[in-house]
Amino acid sequence: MTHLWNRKKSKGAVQKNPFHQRFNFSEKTIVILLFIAASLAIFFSAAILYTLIDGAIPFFQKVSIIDFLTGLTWIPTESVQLFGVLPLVINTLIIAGVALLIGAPLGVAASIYLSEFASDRVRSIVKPIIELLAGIPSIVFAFFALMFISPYFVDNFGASYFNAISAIIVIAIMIMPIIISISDDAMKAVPNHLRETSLALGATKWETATKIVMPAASSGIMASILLGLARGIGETMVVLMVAGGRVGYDLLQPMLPMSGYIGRVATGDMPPGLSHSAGFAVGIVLFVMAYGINSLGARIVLRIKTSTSVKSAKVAKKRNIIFRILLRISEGILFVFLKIGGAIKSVFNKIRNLIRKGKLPSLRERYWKQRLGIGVIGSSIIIAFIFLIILLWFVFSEGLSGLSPTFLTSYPSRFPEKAGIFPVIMGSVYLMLLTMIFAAPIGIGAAIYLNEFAKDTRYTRFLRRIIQNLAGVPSIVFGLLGYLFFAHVLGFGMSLLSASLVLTIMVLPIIVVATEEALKSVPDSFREAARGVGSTRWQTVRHHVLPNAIPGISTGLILSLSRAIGETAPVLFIVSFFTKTPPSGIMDGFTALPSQIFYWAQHAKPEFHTLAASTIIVLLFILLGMNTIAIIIRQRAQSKRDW
Amino acid sequence: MIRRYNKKIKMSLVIVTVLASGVVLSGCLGGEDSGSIPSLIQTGSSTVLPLAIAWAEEFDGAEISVSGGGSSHGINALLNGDADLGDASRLLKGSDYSKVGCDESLVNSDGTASAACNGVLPIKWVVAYDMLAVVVNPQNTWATQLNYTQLYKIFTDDDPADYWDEVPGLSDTAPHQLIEIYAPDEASGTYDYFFEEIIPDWGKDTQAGNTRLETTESNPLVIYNPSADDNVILNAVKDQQYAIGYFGFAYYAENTNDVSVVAIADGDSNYEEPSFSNVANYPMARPLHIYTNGKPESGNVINDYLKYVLSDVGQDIVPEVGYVRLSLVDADLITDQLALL
Repeated sequence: MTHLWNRKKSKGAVQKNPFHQRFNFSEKTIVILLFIAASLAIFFSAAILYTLIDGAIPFFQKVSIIDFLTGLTWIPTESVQLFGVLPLVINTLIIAGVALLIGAPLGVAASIYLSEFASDRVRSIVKPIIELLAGIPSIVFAFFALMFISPYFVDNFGASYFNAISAIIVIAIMIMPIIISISDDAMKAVPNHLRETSLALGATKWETATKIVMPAASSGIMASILLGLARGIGETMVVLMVAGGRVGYDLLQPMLPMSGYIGRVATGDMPPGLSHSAGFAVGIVLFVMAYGINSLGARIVLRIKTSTSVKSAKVAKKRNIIFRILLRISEGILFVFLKIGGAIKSVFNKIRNLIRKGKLPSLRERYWKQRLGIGVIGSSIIIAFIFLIILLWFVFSEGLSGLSPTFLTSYPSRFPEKAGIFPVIMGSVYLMLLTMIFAAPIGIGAAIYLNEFAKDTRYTRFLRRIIQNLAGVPSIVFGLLGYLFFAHVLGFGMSLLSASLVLTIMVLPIIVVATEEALKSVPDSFREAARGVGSTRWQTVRHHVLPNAIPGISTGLILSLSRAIGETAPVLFIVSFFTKTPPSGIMDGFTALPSQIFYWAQHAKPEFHTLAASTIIVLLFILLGMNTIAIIIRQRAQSKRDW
Repeated sequence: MIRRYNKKIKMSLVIVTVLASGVVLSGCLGGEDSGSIPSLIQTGSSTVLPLAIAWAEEFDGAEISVSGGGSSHGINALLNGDADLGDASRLLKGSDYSKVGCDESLVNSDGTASAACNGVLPIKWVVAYDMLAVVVNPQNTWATQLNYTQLYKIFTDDDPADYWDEVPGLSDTAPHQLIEIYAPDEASGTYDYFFEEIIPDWGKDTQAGNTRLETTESNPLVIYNPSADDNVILNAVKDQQYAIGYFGFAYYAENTNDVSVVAIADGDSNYEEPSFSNVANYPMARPLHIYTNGKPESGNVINDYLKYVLSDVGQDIVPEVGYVRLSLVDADLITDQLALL
């Protein structure tokens, strides 16, 4: 904020400089508005903290923090009240950890294939598939896990109806796109001369990829794995619907991770009092874990992005101490892994040397190794592809029969044959419009402020970090925020308004990032030219930067909305499960597509499972439509660009 | 080119404004229109949820948004003014009052309140009955009737019976086989209700035993297999000869051929078969409630709604959803409550 005051002080110069513009009221107002838009992120983050702390206070008045953090038993019933959070934490770590064990190798392998071996043609086919996988809402994965994967384990491995393994499998696939895209970026950032040198020295492409590129990109790969882990820890809908409601330590039995417990507070019949406020206490632990891991990963990514420029010792010193410690820890872990890997490798080498009697592998063998390696890592993409096909095939084969004109025009009746989703679709559409109305001005305003007006002060860096970190808040924590802060504290109730405000905060980082990128793509020469002929800063932005950034901004807006429409957990506490007509005002209760899927998928009668699948088809088509519009805008803008 | 883009900016601004005002205005208009169809928000017990949804579907006087979240949530939302109707499968408790900062002694033991809390006076309306069915495999010939003491030995960890022939009173007729339990999990209201019935002082400091699900023993012989899905319980009991379980009677009524229902006595004798006509005598039946803020005056839409719920048309829906209509339990309940409206 400091520079605003600074500029005011320089008003004294007005008389001396005849070319200096007089105090421009509207310009000032706009800059202040933009500044407020950016600063709202602080308010939002504070609201999240307030929610978690205020909600957990009644809990910690009865249960000591030490008992909570170190207790080994979690029984939240009314009669036995043992609130040791460790079993939930362990269940979270088992589910996210095993999912990571499956997802990380698949993701890293796929990204090596994409960045080092795939032709442009293959890339242009695979990239959209990965994006499609990333764009499928978690409720769809949850439905698939519950209806398709889980029965398989029940029939063949004697798993219980709710089991951890089904959740783990879909979460592994869900975190793949994150790992792929970030690792891919990291490996692409490795300078080409390293590859060229390696190839020139006679290494095969495979050797170059695994021994030169991968180590050079290791911190980026580490970051992608961390972000994937954070995603797995925060995932709610899958564990809520599939993993069951009981702490356990067997993959074929139910497990109760932290996000699952909070989800149960939102939906189940919890006894009053402590078990309910325990949800907020668990929320704090979940928030701290996911937020910490996510921001660590995000900062490593940031470090890689900026590392091409030469760093001064001063900048390096400025890094805050906690980050450095965490970085050390993660590097330490990586180091240990590398050591172990190295040890295993040396044993292998010894064995190989024994067999080969010191002979080096022939070129022929090395090429065979390359072919084999490419086959193996390429197959990880095929796995993702097959998963996607089975998922879509299953949803369509289940749901197509339910699609009919009645289904699109009727209300969600208790009789499956005349049930429909008209009010549900409208609820989702209103929710998106309202979210857009709040999120677009705030997000675009914040991005304009940060990119065009803000100086690199401590405050703006803080703002940036806070906005970025909003992206790391688990979705169920947003649910708690909507329930306690918007519905109760601000008194908006279980309404469309509360839900859209929650979603606004959730999509804010996406909009800010997309808008900033669009603004950055406008060449600086435009700004310089406009300033050179006497435009004010806002005039420059308004007439020269914004018009050229509009396609990029609208693409970002649409993509952020397609994220919002598929989210269930943030509105789980405030959404209704039945309305006969669409909401008629912003204070009305509402239903939304993902929550209707959630309700129907858990219905006892199998006819409703068909309806859930049909609803998924409608949801997927809406998402597909939005993404198509975004792609068309992007391509048209690119072809029209005259610089 | 710039001018064209300026136009585009203006256009998109106009579109956003129109959409925004459209939503907001329609909201305001909706508010004014509410003379014809007002909106109500109903939330609470997931046991009441399917019933509330069915009523919301058939009742024409209001546009009702129904959500679940549990009895506590329903009562809490009513006391906070977030909901017009709060569903509860249990009675209002002192802890509900203290949670929102009111004196818990204002709540009476029959689930009514003697004074308002934060300007909200919760009034209890009994709208239907929920009934539990204890079920066994059809080949089970020894446990056709069980009393609370026997159920206590089977389902709790207080000196429990692990084999069927260890259950008091069954030593001569039952085989020496391990009991297998398939029943709802803690998150379910049915679980709470079942153990509230069979464990003395449930939920108090003096509570006798713990449920088998909560057992602190590391390797119990009998495992309580919890499931939130009645279908899972039904299939497990159907397939396994020595299994026992419980769920809502409505679910049994749809599947009478797959499992056998057990007659229950809350004392040592007077076994009662569960059936829609026997609710009044059957011990494991409970009322379902809707709480409102104060007594709705006649002409008020909530008044109309309650009248509808208590009418024959409204009560006809109750068995359809799987619960028991009030008139089968106590015909006076309907007339007494209607008299208040």
